[in-house]
Amino acid sequence: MAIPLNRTLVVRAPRRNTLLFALRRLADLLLQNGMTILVGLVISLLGVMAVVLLLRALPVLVQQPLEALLASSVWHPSRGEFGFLPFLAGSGFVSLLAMTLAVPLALLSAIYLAEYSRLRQMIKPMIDLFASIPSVIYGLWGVLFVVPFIRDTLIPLVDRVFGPNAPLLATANTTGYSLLAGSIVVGIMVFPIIVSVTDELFRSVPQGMREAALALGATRWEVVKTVVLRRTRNGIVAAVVLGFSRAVGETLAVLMVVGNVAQVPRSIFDAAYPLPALIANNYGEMMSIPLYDSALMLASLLLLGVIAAFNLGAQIVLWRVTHAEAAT
Amino acid sequence: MAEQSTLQITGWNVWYGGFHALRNITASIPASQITAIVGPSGCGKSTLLRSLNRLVELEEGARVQGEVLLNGQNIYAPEADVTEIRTRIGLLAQKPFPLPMSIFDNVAYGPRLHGLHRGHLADVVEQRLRQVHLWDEVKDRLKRPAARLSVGQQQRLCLARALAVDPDLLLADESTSALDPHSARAVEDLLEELKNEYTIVIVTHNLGQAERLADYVLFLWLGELIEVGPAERVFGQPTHDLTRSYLERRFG
Repeated sequence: MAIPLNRTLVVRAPRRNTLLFALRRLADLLLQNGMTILVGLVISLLGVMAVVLLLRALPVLVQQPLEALLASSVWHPSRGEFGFLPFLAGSGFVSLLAMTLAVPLALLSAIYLAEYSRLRQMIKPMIDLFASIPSVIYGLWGVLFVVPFIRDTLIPLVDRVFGPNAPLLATANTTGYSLLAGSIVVGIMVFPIIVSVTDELFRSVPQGMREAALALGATRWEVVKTVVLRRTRNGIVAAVVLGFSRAVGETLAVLMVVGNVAQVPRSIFDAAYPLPALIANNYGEMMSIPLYDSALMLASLLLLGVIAAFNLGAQIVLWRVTHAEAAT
Repeated sequence: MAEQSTLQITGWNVWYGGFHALRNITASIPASQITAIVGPSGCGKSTLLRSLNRLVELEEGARVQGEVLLNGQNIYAPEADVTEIRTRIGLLAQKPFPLPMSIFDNVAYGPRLHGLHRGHLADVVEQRLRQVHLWDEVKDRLKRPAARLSVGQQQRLCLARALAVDPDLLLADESTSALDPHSARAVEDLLEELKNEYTIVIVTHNLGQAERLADYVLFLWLGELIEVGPAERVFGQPTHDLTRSYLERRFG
């Protein structure tokens, strides 16, 4: 029903208040640019961190070339020897073994959640909860359960089954604080991250695509294998890389269980010493040793570089996979 | 090729949770003809179509009751193999969904699953792509991703893919609504060509299309089957008031 317009009651909006317009435009401009600058500042923080670390790492780099530092396995700060190989190996081995344990389980869990489970809405928040548990709790759990389990059960068992000289298994370290303990703890920590990311990936596959395959007589597993996994394979690789970079960067829980001995581990039961543990354990102590501080800065720079590169690469791929409608 | 396939729906009900989406539908779909399911949005057209190849049961909270007999066999019988049933029923969806693989692999997908010998695949693919008049357009790029084709080409590819498993029955769920008029017409013409070999059921919002294509019509209203019959009769002399007003709204 149209209400006839009563001319006397119409209040017209003012049109030509130029001062007000100017003020509003100014506020808009300031806010827009201000926010852009703030975001830019936050992002450039990464660059600032890298530059500061590089400057502080320079003294040790001047003394010895980077290749020599990375290739040497002698870590003897008081004698001025800073070989990073044990820590690189420690980080690499712990992370790789952790991923070997976590990835198959995580992928199967995510497939179950996204494709089969009717309880996804209940299970997913619980998995996300696992990702937010503080790492010290995982570390404590490692000390209380994983380390004793390795020490009292696994090492004697492996010794009995494979003998005292089996490659990758034999060890002189019977404490249980080991590469494997670190890997199990980190594996459990990255598991929910990989599940969460890959589950989202699988959900991004259009339902119509699944139905198309089902209508052609595919079974549910065939749909998973030939449609879902196939369409998301780049994203799965990215999710694994993302998990890997988390594993590389995980500090506290790892240093609690990994043994922290500066050696290149030869067995999964040997103690290891990943980069983040090195930095966390030593920075601020024994700083009177020349170049020690600089060497730790170099360790931090390496860590930052590896993690930033992996993370960024993975995020870009993930974004592409979930946003490209025509992706094949 | 397919023998005369018959489809009989008896006492068919579908619920989504507490919502009674289809109420006691009974109809028989004539063989080697195009049957159009028409009716306003949300009346259960797609639900009925998706009941015919058991995709409806994938919806969360969906419950069904009744019988759907394909060539005398109840496809909802407990002993029925859902994979085998879906193989006998081709589906052309509203939007083309090329599988994430090459053009060739899309058409070969069904035959491969069902164990067709590798040596015959190329023949099957060519034959089916020719059948949907896509062969000349894609024969030089069979290994390219199917997603690079135009939407109209993709829909014809999906039809070739559905035909490659040699179904008895072909379902099309508003299969031209996402296409440009030219591609839509091409798909319509294909369905027309195919109806001699296949029993076809389409869902359409487009009454013009229903009139052009359909030999037989099911008119649904709020989950109930209001009127059924040969297209000329239903469109020419609808017996039910609801059918008449639905059809008239289009003209007036």
